[in-house]
Amino acid sequence: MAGLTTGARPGLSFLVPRGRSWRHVVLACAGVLVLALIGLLTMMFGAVNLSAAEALGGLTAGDDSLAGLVVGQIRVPRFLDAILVGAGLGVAGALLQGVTRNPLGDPTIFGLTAAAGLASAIAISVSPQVPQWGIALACAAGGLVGALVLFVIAYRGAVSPVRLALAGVALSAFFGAIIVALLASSRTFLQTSLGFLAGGLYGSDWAELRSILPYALPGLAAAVALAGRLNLLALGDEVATGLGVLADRTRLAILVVAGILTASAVAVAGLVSFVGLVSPHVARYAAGSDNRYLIPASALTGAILVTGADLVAKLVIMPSEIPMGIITAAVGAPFLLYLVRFRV
Amino acid sequence: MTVLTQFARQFPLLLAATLALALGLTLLAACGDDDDAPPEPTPAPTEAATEAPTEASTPAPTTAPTEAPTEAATPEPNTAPTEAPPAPGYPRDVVDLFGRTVTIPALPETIVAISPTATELVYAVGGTIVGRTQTVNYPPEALEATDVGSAYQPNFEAILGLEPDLVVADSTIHIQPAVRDALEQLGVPVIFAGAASVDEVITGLTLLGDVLDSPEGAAEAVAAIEAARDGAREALAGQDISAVILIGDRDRNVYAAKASSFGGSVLEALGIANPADVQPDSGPFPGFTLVSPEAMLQFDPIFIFTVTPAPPPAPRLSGMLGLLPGFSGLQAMQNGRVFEIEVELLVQAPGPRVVEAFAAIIAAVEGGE
Repeated sequence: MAGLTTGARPGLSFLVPRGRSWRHVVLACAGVLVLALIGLLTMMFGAVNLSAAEALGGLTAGDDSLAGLVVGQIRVPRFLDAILVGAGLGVAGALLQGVTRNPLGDPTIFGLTAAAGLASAIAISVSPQVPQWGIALACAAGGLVGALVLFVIAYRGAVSPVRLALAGVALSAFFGAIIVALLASSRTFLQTSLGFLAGGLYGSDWAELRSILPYALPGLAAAVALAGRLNLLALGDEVATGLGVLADRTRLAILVVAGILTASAVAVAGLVSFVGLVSPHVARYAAGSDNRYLIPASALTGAILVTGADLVAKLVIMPSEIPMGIITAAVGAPFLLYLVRFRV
Repeated sequence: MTVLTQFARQFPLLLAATLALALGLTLLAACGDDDDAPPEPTPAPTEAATEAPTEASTPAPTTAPTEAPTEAATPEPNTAPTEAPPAPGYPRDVVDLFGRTVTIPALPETIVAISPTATELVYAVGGTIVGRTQTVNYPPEALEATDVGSAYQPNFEAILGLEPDLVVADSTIHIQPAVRDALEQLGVPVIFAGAASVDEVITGLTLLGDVLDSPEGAAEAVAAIEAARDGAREALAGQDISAVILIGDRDRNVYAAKASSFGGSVLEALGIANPADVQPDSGPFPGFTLVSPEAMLQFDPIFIFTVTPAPPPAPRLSGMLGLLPGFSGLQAMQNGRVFEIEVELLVQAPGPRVVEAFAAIIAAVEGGE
């Protein structure tokens, strides 16, 4: 939008925002294409293999045909769930890395995943029959409380990024321990608990998608809206305050948004790790560190990572499946090692 | 930059608006869910009570004589497998173990059973299946069916790929709303049958006899179970017998079956006292309770039955009890009254083969006297 006002460059360059290059535009298009390709493969392959034409036909066919049922009732909602989970975690990671100015910012490391997961585990152990929207609501409350606790604990006159990170690690361990204790003592089946702890999209359907939309969409919108302020925070509290940004209020807002986004992901996919950590770093290569571009790019990267991991998780040991979180960890952990060795 | 920062300055307002929106959408989602699944708990009993008997009794005799002969007279030879005998009494409504009323449109011929129990119930009333879960191993012909994943996480696409006209799910395994919803959205009639107790086996057999139009098959299987149970009770009559069923995990924790487990219900059906039933549930196996050596010494049952989940190369729990502290002092250990029972019969595939469990227990008791 800003590019329109310069008017200096001829031809199609109005497509390129000011301060960006064609490289960024090409990479963004490539990302969307990759996501679309994963989407196509997801619609085609599984226990029932469809040709590309059958899969696309299945999108519009009703529930009467096999392709229509498989694509419309199973694959599409699961793919959309994966996109929201990936985008939510990717954006939450970007927000946390920005607000703490710490390359290890991640909803799992900062305890937000565990807080939402704890709420979900409590809801399930209170009543195994709790409906999906109830789980989503509990997760959102858990994510919100986690963000507030994180903020209050880290607040001492002013919030320091280092304290935030340390408090996050402690909270993560604490909530994580309670989750395991709850699952170990409850009547929940071992296999279900495993899927929840490792993170996966088994059984996600339209009801799960509907249940998280109220949190994921406003969360993503709020993250985009906060990106400019996040840029100013990066200049340091004094400069940011001088420019009219209330540093701590902004930090609180960002933590809350990150908490809600994480919660919406946990509500459908359980404790998926490393997506929030890896996505913003990959996105930074493509989009630079201006948060107004980094945040949408992190959403796209996260969506690609989770949809891709879910496709692999579904196909590896068919007809069973491995938890998708294992694939994201398998990609994320080596990346973290690389980061520690060469970048930090 | 400017536009977005302007936008962001409005943050407090924005947050309030977002929360309001979230609340509104949640309410919508909640209402949507209610709309989607209306006939669940409340209407089921009344419908079942009023409709089921009338439909079952009236249309069956009337339609059968009038329609069946006319249709069967001519087109039977060529369209035999698909349409030929429009089995009388369909569509029929049945009430499954969750209390859901399910309409079975026609005699099911392509059945997917997604637990070992469901599989054995179908075969016990004379049905066959085309889809099974990984761990099924009985009856042998069930192994020819296509594998659709584990019972805990059946692959929905694989189920649909078999184009079934009935899915038999397990009321003790598929209790989570997420899995139940996904199964109900497959567009195929789903009934839940399971075996949390001996009585549920009988209920499940009767249900499947109804669904598969094989009331005689079901009655026969039920009669076999009742005969085995009554015979065993008779053999045990007058004897004051106590027994505990134990299962072990890899950490050498030992759990005892309570009456709320299938194994416990087997003891109860035979009139055998189960001293472990007083403890609260604990540990990962539903209906089982973690027993400490002290608790076992206090129970001191006359018989101990053990089940070992790990397959045979692994040592049997019956052989390992002596290694546990305190266990060697138990009267069952000293009198050699510890017996291994196949884990399938009591834990992995509870179902119509309960007659074998009765027989194993009676053989142990009579041999041990």
